[in-house]
Amino acid sequence: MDNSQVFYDSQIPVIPTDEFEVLEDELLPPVNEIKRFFRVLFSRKIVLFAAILLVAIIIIAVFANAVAPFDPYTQNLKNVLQEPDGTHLLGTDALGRDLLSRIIHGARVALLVGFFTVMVAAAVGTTIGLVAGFAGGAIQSVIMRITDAITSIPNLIISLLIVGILRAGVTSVVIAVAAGMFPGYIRMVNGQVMSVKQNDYVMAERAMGASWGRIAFKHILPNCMSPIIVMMTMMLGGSIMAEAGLSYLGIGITPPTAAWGAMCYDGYKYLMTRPLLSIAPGFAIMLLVFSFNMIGDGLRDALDPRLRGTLN
Amino acid sequence: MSETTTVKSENIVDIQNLKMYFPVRRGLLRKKIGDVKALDNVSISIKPGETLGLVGESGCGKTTMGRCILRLYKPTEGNIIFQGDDISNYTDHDLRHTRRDMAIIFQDPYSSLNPRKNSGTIVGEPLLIHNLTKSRKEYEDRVAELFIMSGLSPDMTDRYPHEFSGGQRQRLSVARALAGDPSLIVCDEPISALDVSMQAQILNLLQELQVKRGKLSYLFISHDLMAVQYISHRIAVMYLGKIVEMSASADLYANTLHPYSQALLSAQPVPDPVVEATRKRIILTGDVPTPLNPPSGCSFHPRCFMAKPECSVETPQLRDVGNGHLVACHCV
Amino acid sequence: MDRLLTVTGLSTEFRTERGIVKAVNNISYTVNESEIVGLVGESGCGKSVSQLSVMQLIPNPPGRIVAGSVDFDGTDLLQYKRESNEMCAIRGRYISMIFQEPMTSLNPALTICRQMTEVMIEHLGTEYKEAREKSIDMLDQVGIPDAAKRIDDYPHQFSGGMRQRVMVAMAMLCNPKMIIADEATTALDATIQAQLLELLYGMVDKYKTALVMVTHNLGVVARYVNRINVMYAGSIVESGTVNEIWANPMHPYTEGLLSCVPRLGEKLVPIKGMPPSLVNRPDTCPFAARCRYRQKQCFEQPVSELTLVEGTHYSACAVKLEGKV
Repeated sequence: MDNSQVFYDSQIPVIPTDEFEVLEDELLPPVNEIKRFFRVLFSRKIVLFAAILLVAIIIIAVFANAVAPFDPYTQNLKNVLQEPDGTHLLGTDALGRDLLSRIIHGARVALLVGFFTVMVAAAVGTTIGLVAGFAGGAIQSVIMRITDAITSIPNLIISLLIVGILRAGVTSVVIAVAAGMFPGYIRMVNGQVMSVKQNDYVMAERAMGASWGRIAFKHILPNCMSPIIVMMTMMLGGSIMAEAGLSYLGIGITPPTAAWGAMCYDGYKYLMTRPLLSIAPGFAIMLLVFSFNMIGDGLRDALDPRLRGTLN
Repeated sequence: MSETTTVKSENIVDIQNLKMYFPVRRGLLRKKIGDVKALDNVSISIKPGETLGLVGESGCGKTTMGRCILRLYKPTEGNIIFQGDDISNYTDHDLRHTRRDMAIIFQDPYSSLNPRKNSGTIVGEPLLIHNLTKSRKEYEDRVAELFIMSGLSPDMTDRYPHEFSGGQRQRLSVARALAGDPSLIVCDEPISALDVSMQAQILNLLQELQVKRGKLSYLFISHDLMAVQYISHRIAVMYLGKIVEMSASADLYANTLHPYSQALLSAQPVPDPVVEATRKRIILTGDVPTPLNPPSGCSFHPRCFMAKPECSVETPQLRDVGNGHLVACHCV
Repeated sequence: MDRLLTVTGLSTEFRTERGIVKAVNNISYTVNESEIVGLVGESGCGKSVSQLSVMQLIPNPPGRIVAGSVDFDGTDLLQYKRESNEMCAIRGRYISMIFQEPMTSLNPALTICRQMTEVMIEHLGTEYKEAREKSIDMLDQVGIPDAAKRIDDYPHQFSGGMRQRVMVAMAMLCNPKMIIADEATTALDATIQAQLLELLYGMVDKYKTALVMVTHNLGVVARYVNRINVMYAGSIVESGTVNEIWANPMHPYTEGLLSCVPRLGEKLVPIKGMPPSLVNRPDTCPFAARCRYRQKQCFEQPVSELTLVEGTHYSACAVKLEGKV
């Protein structure tokens, strides 16, 4: 050990090392992130239950043609409003169509509408929110005030307006429901971007001369993904509810397409005599929304960045 | 040091009369109620291969200075001449090529690395931004080389930041800073968040790199006088947005002139019981004033143990007291 | 001087995903009345956890005190449950703690007066009026100007240094027998840090309070402390008076720590590598991988206990003790 070397002059002594020394440090033992993710996600039994339920619903929806005992659109006017029996497990509706088959095919509609709605709302909302949060200043203020204004209009009115312009149908329902939801994404993403922006690595990117597009999409957006994914899952349930509501009002999915909301409405006229006609599709809506909400809850815990690479 | 630096200068950086004011707004209409004078008329220069230490307490403007040089902030007034170009009015777009030659190392090893990128990607980022490598192979070789230079094993490139300890993360920051082959690295408190043994490692690494690379300059920002003393050729002491003393490193310690520098030096605990027992200590009274409303005259006078009546009236100017030792004090 | 605190064989574990972390591994130390003891080590060495264990403030789960005894003034603190009345009566009354970040240890929604008087009313059953007077007096003693007025302010109205002064005043309120200062001055600026250390030292001197200074800064320790315990990877590796340790560091880690602080005109000799992970550690010497004096036995035999060198100087390095280097 050479402690005596004194260098008072402004020349820093040359360190006589010919090559750089590489430290063979031990890294922190790796944590299997995927394993941890699933462990936290399914740590609550109800989330596991919801996930199994959801997978079952998706399988039924995909193979609806094979699973459903009857064709959902074949009318049999000689056999209307039948009680459940061995052939028609849940009975038939006012046009003699098998209720169970219609519910099974309805799952397809619900999942498709829910999925596309959330995708549209998330894509639009995230983009605008990212721009607002990233730009800051006047641009942010204008975007956020407009968002506030949109939020203050009841969703139903927005949906009615859009359906009124576009006419009922799957596309217009998707747009109508998404229009009510995207301001939520703007707010959330805006806030998230503002907090991620505080990190030094964003400033480091600027100091390296990275373009704003690179910073926004390669560095800020990926760090905002966790809450966006959670919100999308939660909103899947909400959008299925909204679609059912619109269909119930007769301005959503048009008949004869098997939509759960419309089926509830059809059955409501026979509530006293054949309650199952409304209750069964209602129950289907409930199960699907429940499973999305529970999984959303589980994802929120599992994607919590504070848990990354740490303890239980 | 000459006050009138021409654009054709041998210095890496020349900062002339730099002012950085942050407006403070309050109320519903965001009315401006004043300025935080983070930097108030500061001039410094850094030569190729030189380390300039910048010392001061929190809120004195040292971090702002580092960020202004990299043009992460747009200065209110004054010129920043980097390798002969006045970059003080450049836009981010104009700065793209300039920024290859400069880099920054941050204090917090946790927030300075993107947690979602693996360490190899983080270190190689400047190579991609500036298209410095022709092939994937060349890129990987270069990243491995950077890892080795920073004392990390190249096997670690696919690991994520949370698997590294604080000291290793700071090495990653050093590797990233070196990627573009810069001529200036701003080290913004690079060791204050680290443990003692890690601090020494990083200090030695930075010094070693400078020696090996030749024309690498550092602006080394720290509140730790001992660390600054160890690594710097020249030191500037800042207080409330102004430089109060600047001189060659050894000279500043042997002949501390400004009362604030003296107090700062004396407040630094010496890890030696024998020295500590006999050492005279200057304990300053009062808090650091807010830069929003600095005291009149010499901004240090309310805490100064040498203050004279004129100190509260007249602002002392930096003047040369011989051998390039600059000090701004009426009492020296 | 009478013995105030005797910690024997204290071990604290955390159960984590990666395995069991022995954050504090069989440490023993003592604190005498009105003595200042330093506990030095790098982050993650267990110095804070050991102090929180003494106070039984370890979050459980995941943490757990698995062994040892903490004898404070004749009673074993570990016999009490974490949230028992007995333990609460000791915290803040007989042992006070000052943390690094005053903003998080003070409740931002309550005035200083409310927070200070509450301590006294709770522990000593003082009347509000008297408690307020005493609090003002204490704030005055820690150098808060205009204490009678400032006492009605909220924490955010104080600067960082002033908040830490308030913390010192609060810690001293019930005239405790021991104060644990956990990195109490680390977050402050150099000149403010010097003020605060001076103040803390003056206060414990005046009230004859014992002080445990937990810090990573050897400089702080050198000036104020009577005895030092150096911690590494959950264990105390060296213990002794300041002069004993500085004159003759008997553990390579202490020696490394002393040589890696920049000093005027000296070359830095850093300790190579980094502290070991504490997950499922074998019982060999934790410093061996970074040690300059390591020998084959260091990787094979269990690490030796703290052994007397001379006087009050203890070290846990068998190689240096046997004089093999």
